[in-house]
Amino acid sequence: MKHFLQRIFFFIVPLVLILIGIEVLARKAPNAYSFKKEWMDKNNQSVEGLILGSSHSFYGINPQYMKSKCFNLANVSQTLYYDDFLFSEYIDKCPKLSFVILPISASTLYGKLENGSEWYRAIYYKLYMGCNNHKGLSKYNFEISNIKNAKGKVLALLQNKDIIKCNSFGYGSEYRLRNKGKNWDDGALSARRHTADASKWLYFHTNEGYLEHIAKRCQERKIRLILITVPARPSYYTNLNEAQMNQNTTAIKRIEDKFNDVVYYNFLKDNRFQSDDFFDADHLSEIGAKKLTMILQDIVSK
Amino acid sequence: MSVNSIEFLLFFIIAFFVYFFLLKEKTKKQNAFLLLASYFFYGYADLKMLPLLILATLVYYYLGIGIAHFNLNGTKKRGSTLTTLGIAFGIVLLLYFKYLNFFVTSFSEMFESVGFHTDPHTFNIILPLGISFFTFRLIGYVIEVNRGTLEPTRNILTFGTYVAFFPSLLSGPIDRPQKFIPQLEKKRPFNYEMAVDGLRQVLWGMFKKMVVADNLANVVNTIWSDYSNQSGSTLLLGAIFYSFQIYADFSGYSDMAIGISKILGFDVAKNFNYPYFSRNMSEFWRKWHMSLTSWLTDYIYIPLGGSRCNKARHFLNTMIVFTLCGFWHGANWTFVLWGAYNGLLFLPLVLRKKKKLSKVVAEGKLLPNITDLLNMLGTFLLATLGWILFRAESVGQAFDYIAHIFNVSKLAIPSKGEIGILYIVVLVMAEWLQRKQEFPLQIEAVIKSPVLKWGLYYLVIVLILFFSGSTSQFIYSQF
Repeated sequence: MKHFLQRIFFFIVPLVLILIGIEVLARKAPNAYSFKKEWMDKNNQSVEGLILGSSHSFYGINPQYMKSKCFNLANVSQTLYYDDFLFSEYIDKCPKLSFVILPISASTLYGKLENGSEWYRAIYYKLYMGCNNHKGLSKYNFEISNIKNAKGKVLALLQNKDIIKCNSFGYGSEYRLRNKGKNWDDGALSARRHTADASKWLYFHTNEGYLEHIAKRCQERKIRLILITVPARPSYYTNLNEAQMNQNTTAIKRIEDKFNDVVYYNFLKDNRFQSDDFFDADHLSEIGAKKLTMILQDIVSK
Repeated sequence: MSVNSIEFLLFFIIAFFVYFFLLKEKTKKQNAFLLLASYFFYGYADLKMLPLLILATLVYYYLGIGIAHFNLNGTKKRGSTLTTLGIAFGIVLLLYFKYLNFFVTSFSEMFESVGFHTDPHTFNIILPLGISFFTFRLIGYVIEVNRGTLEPTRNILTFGTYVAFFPSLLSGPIDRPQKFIPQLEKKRPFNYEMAVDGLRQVLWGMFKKMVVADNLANVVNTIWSDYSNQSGSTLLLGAIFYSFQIYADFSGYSDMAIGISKILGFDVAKNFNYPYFSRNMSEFWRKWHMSLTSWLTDYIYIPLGGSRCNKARHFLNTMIVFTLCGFWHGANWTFVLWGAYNGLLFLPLVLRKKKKLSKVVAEGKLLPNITDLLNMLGTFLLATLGWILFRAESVGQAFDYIAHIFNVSKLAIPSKGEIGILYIVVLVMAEWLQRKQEFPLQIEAVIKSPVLKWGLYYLVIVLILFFSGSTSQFIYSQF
């Protein structure tokens, strides 16, 4: 037994050291989450508008084109739980905050980050944004829980590559027209991915609760809450689940009716957005993002 | 708690130290601890169903004692009645938890198809984890006691540990009581060779599951979710990938379960023996999910008459066993059809004279001869066709998928999964070169240098760390 444990120990030591090294270096690598937290901590006194939500707003709204000081706090696969967390974290620290833009996509009310394929992003809220919802030895407390991403971060850090992947306004800078894929307009698969199965319908009321909480706090602070659905291609929206979309509309209507200063704009089938405005069937390119941001600027100015 | 998770690693490290340090060689205490650990493991996954597992254990424990009592007292008939009750109880458990809704909806659809309107009520029944596996273990136990090949255990802790042994509780292997229970009754000191072998087997199982199966799962799921828009060649590739996915997934789990058992000092049933190197379907089924095949052979096929009867009866027996085997996998006609399809593939083997095959294909040679190669490829393709039925959500979808394979674009270059081919090549090469061993990482005979051996282990660990696919559930955990 002693011999066995000794050999196991000597075998494991290099592995553990490598893993610790990866964990430390991955945490040191700058990323969109730590960047956004730093920006908010530095600018919370002056920020006037916040954009929350998932990849649809991360890549879809570029605050650079807003007249007021606005920041994009959205991130890929960010669910309403984390929107609510970020909003609650900053609302009392931002005295000038006058509007919040929050996109409601097909799957927004049915998601739980930890249960999806992008579960590892929950780690980043814990490590870089101070969201303390996973305690102890949970996998959400370690970068190495997703070793491939951690490895990528370490390599990027060592090669001095930019992995923040958003501009100084928090807008996701990867979805450029020139990077558009060959099958960019194949929206059926994304629509199917955004169709909630029975297990995800269970999250509906919880997510509705987060949305209601955001609306309530906005009402208390007299902050305008602008709910939007971002434009998409017909290949995407024609494949969405009708019952799910109807349920979304009902929920949004209820929030709109219940709280002051909540407005909803549905751009899903907006024909002002043409093929060059899209990066793929449900995400805008930099051109589309600029167009949508200008439209939102008009709404904010009203 | 999946066996390839951090939670399980922590659970196992604690269990290992308690088992070998605090309770060393105190068999009864070790068994009691294993039972507690197993119930914790089961309860962690499915607390609501833990009472069912305990109840079933108690029922069969007393049934075993009762059967032996009647058989010893010369009232064999009563013993047989109790055995029948035991078998019936197991079947009722399976029928209720696994198949009730299936029967309700199937009968309703049948009545609807002949014009009768029905308003079926389906039940909200939660399927207890591992029920198919522990029920078969329990049924096997009462049959063996009744046959007199096994003394019933009179220690509830020993029996409970046999039923709930955590490494194999959720997805097998289905251990036979006459092999496993005696191991629980003897001293189990720490065995260095077994522990090292077990660790290597766990490592190989993790590689198969996390690198091969999980990466292939991504491609397979993408292809299946949109199969009607894929080219024929992509669909064929998707079917081949699924064959390897299910193999790497299930045999990977089995390797982990067997490896963990070895570390704890147990020799549990082997479940796979390189099935894709089989030269006909009979050999395939002797090498695929071996613990289930041997269970079905001993408790259904042989009592039905096996092969010692005329050819028609022999074929019928085969069909019955395979249809049941399919049905065991789940409450869906796809599984029933998959079972029947595999039974049908035995027809040529039943009709023609049995040809004796060597135990290991191309033994002592680097490459197989042309006949063996063609036979292996043919067997693999037949099995792959069956896996389409197994993977599909409905029979209609399975046939639709197969029909799409044969559309005009079957010769186009597949549009997905180039990297998947690489994983398959690595897996097949490693298994081919080590096909005489229980698993490819048994490298004692090939690599003598400890540095090279450790280098190879590190390489496998690096592959697992950096190339594993997104975590997906074990396919067989749903059965």
